[in-house]
Amino acid sequence: MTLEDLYRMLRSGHVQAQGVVDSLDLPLVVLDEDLRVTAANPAFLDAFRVERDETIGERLFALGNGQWNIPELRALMADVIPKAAAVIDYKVTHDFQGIGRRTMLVGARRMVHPGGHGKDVLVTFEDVTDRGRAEAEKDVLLAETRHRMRNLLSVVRALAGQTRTAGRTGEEYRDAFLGRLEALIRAQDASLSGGSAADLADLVGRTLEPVGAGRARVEPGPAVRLAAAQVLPLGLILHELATNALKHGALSVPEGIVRVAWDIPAQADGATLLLLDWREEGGPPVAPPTTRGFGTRLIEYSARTDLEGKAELRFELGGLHVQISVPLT
Amino acid sequence: MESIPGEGAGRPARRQILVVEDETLIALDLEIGLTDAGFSVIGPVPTVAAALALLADQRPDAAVLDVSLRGEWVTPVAETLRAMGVPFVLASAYGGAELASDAVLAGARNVGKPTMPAVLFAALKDLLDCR
Repeated sequence: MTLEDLYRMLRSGHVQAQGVVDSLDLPLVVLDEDLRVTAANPAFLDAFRVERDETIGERLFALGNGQWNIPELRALMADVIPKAAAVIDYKVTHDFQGIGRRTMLVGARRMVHPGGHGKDVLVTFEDVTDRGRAEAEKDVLLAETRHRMRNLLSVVRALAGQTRTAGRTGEEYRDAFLGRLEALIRAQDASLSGGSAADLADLVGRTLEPVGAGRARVEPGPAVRLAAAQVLPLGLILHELATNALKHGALSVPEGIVRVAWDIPAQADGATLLLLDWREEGGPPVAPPTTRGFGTRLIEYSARTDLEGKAELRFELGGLHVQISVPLT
Repeated sequence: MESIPGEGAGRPARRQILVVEDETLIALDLEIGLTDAGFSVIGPVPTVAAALALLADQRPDAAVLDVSLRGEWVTPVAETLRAMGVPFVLASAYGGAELASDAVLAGARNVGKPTMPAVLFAALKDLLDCR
């Protein structure tokens, strides 16, 4: 039932006004022209935790130690009553005695009696405090989603921009770009899913799967459980190493292999440090690159900033040898 | 492409740009893009602490700042830069409404994210030319 309906019913006089008022869920009071409460429904008494005796006959602004003496509400009443205008959904935020800080939508309407002498005002209160909170939470969630989406697009943009084009066909470029993108997707899945995804042996196995077990010789090492934040960077680093080996390193010739091993050697200071060793063998002659590509930079930078460790690339005679150290927590 | 003159005989030194960004791939993309465009990059650094540590020793000509860094806002870095008189642009996915509550960030130019390199370079050029 809307305020409009109620108003009509009250005016028609065909129904018991008190009965209607009492059955409404919406807190409601009727005030006379002095703004004394002539009726208050149970919803009002309940919502504001007040007794009927201390409410009926009192001036609205004196109710409950003057907790209703809100300047905004006074101004509203002063406007409504002389002009007989209706006010719908006027927002008032106030510290109420007993129920604390709430935000109310206040509706007020002067009731015109058939005789034309009545000056009663019907006032309704709708507590929208929680609605506001829910909407604020939704806004935060939406903003965060938008933020993450843009960040993700930026990452994709960076990958597309930093995948080399020189000396490549469109198809080769696409494959290199998609290879990195897929490595990123897999690594992200792994970092979010937890469980066995955070196991170093699993991560190495998954990342080197395209290389084939015959050519990627993974030596069994101690069980290492990575932190969620370490899975993605290490996954990308291993992908870059594997891609580089296939393109330029030992895996670019049929007889070349790569050996991967790791250990957690005892440290003097008692810290737990993972040492991961990547060694290429049987490949073409190795010379340090004259320029550092994106892949190399990514390996070194990510090991330092994301893993808080370091990656050392040594272009040894027999093949590339990379040592990555990662503090474990 | 319009670029800042590189190092060379009779030419001014490359302008130094501090890059603060916590997402590795974006940080490296910025680093390489800025270097190719003729700037010299300080960093990139992924945290407020690392940026402040760099600023204790070095004075960049300008800076590019991501706003949200591993759950922390870049505000202390922006305040330090302002105190040093170093101009900066933001490269953030956050919009004006989200930044409005932060006095030092609200007034700064945001080139947005994803960041279009041409927009970033032009904004940096504006900052450097205005000094």
